[in-house]
Amino acid sequence: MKIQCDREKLLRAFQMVAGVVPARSPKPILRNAKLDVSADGATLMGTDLEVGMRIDLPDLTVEAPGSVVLPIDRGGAILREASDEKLSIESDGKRIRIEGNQSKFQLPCENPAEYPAVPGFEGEDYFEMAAPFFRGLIHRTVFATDNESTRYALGGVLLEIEGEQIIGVGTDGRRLARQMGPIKVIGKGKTSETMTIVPTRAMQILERALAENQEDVRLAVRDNDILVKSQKTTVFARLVEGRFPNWRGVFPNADEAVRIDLTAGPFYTAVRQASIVISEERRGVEFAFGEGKVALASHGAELGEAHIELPTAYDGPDISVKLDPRYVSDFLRVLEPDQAFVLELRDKETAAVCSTEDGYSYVIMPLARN
Amino acid sequence: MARHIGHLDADCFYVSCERVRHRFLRGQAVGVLSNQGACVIAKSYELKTRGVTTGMPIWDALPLCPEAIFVKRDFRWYEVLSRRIYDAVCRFSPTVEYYSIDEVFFDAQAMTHTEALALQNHVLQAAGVPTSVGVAPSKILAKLASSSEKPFGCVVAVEPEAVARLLRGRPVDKITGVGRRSSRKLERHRIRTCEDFVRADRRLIRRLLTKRGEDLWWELNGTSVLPLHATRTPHKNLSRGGSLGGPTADPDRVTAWVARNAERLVEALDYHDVYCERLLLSLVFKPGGGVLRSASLWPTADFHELYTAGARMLAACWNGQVVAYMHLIAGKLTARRDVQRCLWDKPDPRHQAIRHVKHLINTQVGRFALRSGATLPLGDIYRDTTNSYDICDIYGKTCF
Repeated sequence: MKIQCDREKLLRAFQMVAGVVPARSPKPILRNAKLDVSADGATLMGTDLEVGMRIDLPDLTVEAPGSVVLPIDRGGAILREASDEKLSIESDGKRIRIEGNQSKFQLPCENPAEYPAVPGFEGEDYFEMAAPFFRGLIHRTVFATDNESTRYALGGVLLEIEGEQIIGVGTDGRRLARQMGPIKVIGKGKTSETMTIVPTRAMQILERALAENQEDVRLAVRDNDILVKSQKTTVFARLVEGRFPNWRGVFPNADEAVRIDLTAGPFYTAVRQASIVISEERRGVEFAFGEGKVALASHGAELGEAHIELPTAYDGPDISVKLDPRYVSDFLRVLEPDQAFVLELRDKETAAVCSTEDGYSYVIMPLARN
Repeated sequence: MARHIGHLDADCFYVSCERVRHRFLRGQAVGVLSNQGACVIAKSYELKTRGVTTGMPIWDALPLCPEAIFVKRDFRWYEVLSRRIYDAVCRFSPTVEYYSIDEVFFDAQAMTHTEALALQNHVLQAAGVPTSVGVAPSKILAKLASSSEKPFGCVVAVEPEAVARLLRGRPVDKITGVGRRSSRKLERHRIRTCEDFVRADRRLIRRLLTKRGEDLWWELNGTSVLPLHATRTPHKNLSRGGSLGGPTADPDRVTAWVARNAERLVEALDYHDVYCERLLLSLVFKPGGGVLRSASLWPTADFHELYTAGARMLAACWNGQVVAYMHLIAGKLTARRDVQRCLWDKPDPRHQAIRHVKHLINTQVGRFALRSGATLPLGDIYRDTTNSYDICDIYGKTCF
């Protein structure tokens, strides 16, 4: 195998794949990335057997097709530290030679045939959606997941597809984030027989992989795994096994709620200010709405107390709720500062629901006395 | 008026407690054994002079002193006397810190040597336990003073000359908080005695032993920086567990230990009026190695929740190795004042009813009178009453 490539481009792909490769593994070959080269181009891939990534590298010159396994640490360091614009990578199955005009490296290599297969995107039945939307869905739900839950399978984002709508749900049992949006059905679409819970780590990798992508992404759901393909990148992930709780049941009846219009930026500032004096023992912030303002009050015992006021358009009956400000901040952090949202409140014991006009909802359970 | 700190330390406490209720032990070489009866956890001065050390297995200790009398530990009795000591000191001081089962710090105000002797005698009368007393300008100096003339010593070192005498020639590892590793670091700078330590550059001590070392430097130089804690600061974690009464690979026994530790953890969570949102399971295997697993929970102090989470973690991380030690650790403790409600936390009324009945019966009849059926494989453990009370069941200590 022999190629000529642009160092910067290969480095970017290598760094992306390095996010999938395990830092430690009982199988040493997994600490490598595999480069498959054919006459049409090359594909760089990495996996920890739970998540896999393939990146197509069309812009390189193929002198001899073949495969090579590149050690993720030393390979990445060479690509990062070398000062050559172009590099030649060649392997005879025993050694890898990486050469530029000013530098020359020789590394031992493992047998590429031993590298586990990283599935590619196949089939005619899948879903398609805009990459920025899917990235937003991940960004707005993944923070609410809980990898250590033993009761339910909360270590990932639940994806549900209903007709031409996709719903992503992340929860840790105390709060729940849900993003809905449009999706196109290609062919028969096809969803899994079981719940499609995509592991938190896979979602984070996907979010990074789609960072600069403005095109559509394809999503294929199978019984035990999913595949997501953008223009150059394919991510494979095994699904989380287990039961996701009935998330629909946590949304209280909207008819009985008081609705308060708020803007993310100023409200986030007020929440951060009120959080300054909270302690582990007293971590609640009381949100009191009425008379055209919201008053945030916190008492951190020996840390002191804070009282913050913010004008609002709400002029209805007084209503208050005590919430953990960390959960409120998590929601506000993923919104743009000028984004408007509606807060629905019922009483001190019932869930508070925040929702935006672009299909995002966030449910927070209050802090309450026993 | 100068305010000084006092430290009162019981002399070979466990042995002294046994001598209070078994007078024939006085003057004898006595050792107190761990709950398995395998190791010496405390020894009388008579036994110490024969070369027996704390932690020594009984089969090594016996040949050194064949006439010694060994008794099994009884923390319930030790706590009774420990509380008597605390109450006795409270009569002499407005602020007393219950530091550990056999030590208290107290606000000594301007206590004289005569008054310190009076305190020592009052404690002996009230609890029957001999103690050593130190009074000095700071906690660390007071502890050094009380340990300087054991047993039944009484040292008031408040004047600069007395403090200097206390520090002179005393090895630096006699300072509480300076262990073997710290001593080695100090040795490289020829800091070998307490006197060397106080004369050393503060910045050097800070660099070598971090902030804790600088605290010791100030304390030994007579500036009190470690406050007295009349009440314990809230726990970050609560742990229950220990040895499994002999290493075992029996799945029923290992699972039963999860249940026993979960029941004990519930007691601790109730006592401190907190819920936990994280549970850790730690296993130590024989001959070596171990695992640590954690699970997140919705705020709970419910036995069923803790036991189920513990059993699930055990199933996920244990492959039948011989387990020697197990701990269940409750983390992310939250006060029950403001409880984080959960989206799906419908408490099972049956579990709540069982919890209520269990609490009522055990309060009236005795600890573990009603316990989970999952603990049945540990009949031998429950039959041995020395297992019914452990040092961690003595609440309020500020040390551990």
